[in-house]
Amino acid sequence: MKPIPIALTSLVLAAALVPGMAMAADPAYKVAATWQVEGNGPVQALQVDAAARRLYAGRAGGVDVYDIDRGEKTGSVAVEGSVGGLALAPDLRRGYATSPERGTVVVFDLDSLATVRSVPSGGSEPRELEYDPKAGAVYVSNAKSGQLVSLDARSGAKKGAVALGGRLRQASADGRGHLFVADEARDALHVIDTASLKPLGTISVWPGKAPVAVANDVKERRLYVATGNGKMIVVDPDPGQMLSVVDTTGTGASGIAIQYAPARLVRLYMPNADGTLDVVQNAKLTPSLEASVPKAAGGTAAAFDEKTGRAFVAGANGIQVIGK
Amino acid sequence: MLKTVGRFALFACAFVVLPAMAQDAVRDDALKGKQVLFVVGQTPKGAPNDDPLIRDYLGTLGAKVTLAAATDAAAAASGKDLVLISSTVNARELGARYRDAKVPVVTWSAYSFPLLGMTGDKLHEDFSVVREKPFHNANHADYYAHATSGTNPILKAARIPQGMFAPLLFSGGVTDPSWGKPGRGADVAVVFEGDYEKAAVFSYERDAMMVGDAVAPARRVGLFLGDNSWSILSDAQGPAAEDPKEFAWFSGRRLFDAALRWAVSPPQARVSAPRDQQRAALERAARGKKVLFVRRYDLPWPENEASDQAQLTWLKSLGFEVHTADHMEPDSRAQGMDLVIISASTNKYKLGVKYADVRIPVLLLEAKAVDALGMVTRRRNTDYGVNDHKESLYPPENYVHMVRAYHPVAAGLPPGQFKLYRTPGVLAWSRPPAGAQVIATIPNQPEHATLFAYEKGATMANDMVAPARRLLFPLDAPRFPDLTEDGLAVYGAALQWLLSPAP
Repeated sequence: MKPIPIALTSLVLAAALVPGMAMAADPAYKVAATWQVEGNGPVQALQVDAAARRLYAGRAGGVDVYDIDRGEKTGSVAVEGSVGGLALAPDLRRGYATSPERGTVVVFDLDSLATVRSVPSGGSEPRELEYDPKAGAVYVSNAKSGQLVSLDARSGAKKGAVALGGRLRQASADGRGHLFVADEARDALHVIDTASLKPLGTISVWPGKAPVAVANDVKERRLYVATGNGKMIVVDPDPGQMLSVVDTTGTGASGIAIQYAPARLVRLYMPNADGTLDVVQNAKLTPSLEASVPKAAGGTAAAFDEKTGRAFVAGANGIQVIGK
Repeated sequence: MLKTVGRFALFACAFVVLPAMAQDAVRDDALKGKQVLFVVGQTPKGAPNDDPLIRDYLGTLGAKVTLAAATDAAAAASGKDLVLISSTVNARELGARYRDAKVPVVTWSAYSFPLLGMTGDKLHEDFSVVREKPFHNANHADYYAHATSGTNPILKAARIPQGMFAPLLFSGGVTDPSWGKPGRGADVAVVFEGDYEKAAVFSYERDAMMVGDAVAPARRVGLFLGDNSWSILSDAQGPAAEDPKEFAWFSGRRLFDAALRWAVSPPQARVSAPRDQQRAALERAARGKKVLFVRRYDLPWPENEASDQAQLTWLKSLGFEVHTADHMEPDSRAQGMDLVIISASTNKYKLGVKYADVRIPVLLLEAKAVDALGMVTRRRNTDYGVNDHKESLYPPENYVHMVRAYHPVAAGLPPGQFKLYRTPGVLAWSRPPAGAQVIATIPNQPEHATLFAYEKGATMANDMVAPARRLLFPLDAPRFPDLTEDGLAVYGAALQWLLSPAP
């Protein structure tokens, strides 16, 4: 309750709006290694199969597979065009990759890395994929056409579709029958009933704008949404509302990766288009910006390995391994 | 043509006499284009502060927000449509700035409530900040609240029904809400712990009597928010918004929005018509209307009989078609009537609970029956009683204190004291629940309402819903001839309000 002169009021508010501005890069986070990537264009998608000790990296022309512990490429899956999204179904030994230019989803075998089949995405510019083991489905976010398509996770056959409009990005299933789909154009999350594939409503991510990625803490019932205007929005999916806002330093969020230790979501990694990596800690379910790692890798995707406690960040420079 | 002109004149006249009938509409886009002065302060380093979010949010509603500090001159409010005072301000520095501002003020600075005349000034008695550490249990209890009555204008605007709901999201973390104990001139929309004296959301209409004889220069709203409460106001979206019960339960953000929208909406105007026009309007309203006057036949007290007869004569002179019933007759007598008047010549014991559920307006003059009609809870001499020369701590009285001068029943009288009767005598008082519109209290007994009303659909005592308008006019059995001219005007205004359509 201290008084402030009017001249300071705007500064006070500005500082409160962008608390991350005051945070310097945390030297505790450093680039442990950089893995070069073959082919043209940056890696746009990353997925970790911690049990198999593999990292999957979607790039122009295919998906590369790395041995996480040795940092060596061990195989690849050919995909026509650039890979825009990846999903893994270890229980089915299946992997999935989108080709935004071709409008297809490639289903591949996780063991042999052979292509099982390539199916139409059901819309234009398919990007992120979400595997829902409870529903036995893979959801395809067709960004440009606003079509969300459900594929049978085993066969790749189309199960259904719903036209949501907007610009669809990452989806996240809660295993209780709800799928949350980021809509970059409408600043909202669509809520979909996974059984009927019908929309149940939308949740605003204000004050975030252009949400692209969603992390779902199913047990704590919280959604962490990376948005394009330098904010991570925490949403309680039950009432469907914002719980808190974390102002980050980067702009143009491109993904989100989460760290559980062991049962609680303790940290989130958000790569940004400007090359920074924001690290948000989640102590006692109170998220706050822990660090901003500058120029990590160009920031197009992130994944996390629970065993080593390291994050993988992809971008134009390759894949960088970030850790303390 | 003449017929058309006559209808128009009648319509126009009705709006002169009953301007308040035109109010109550709070537009969804009420904040669009409004100039808002947002008075903010600082929170300690590292402590959360929702002011920036609120500022941005108001922008999304179309408001144009200007920031001010506590020490800025009150002239900063000039030209504004609304002043918001955050809990982050230093109330000591802010002082009584904006107390007299003829601009609506909404504040969630609990320490500013008394400085603005909205509550008394005793911490934890007249207002409180329910800090989590010292008031752990109460703090957690305040994640739940009770909406007092579906007829409350802010609750109506927020589409929140009467009952329990969750203004704050429990999973959102710790916050320090506040409450205030407003005067009876306030509309209490939301309370904590079901306690009227812990108002979470309360408002004063322009010209309402606040506390300590302060009259609201414009609308005033007190809110319960702490420094970081706004971001965890509950707000049903997605599937929850489609479920009526979830929608009603998670409604903190809608409540905040509605409070601000109500504050910037046009206030009710006091009746401005002169007495002869008021009388003419009453006669028009009375013409052809059937009134059932319930009384005790064959009264043994001549002065009571004379008072009843004088009333009957007056009612007939207004143009009413007057029917009478003894208090032992069944309340089916009300069928086909437009209004029931229950005289104080009736006996509460004989009257019983008759007329409590009739679906036409009831004017109750027998104040002892307020509990039987569901208008006040049941403890005699606690929830209701009388000023009298016997069996009362409170002496006979003939003055009352107008706390809702803007109400149509106030007949245009100004806020403050006025003479209801020529001589001191029995005057009833009640402590009605928040759903009541208290029009007048008793001087020096600010918590004792003596003239109050319920809108149709309002929540009365024990959660009973008013089937139609209800009004208690404190007219003891022999006192009709003792009414002053002002008192008679108020009685007439009460009749007219009861007969006018509910919004």
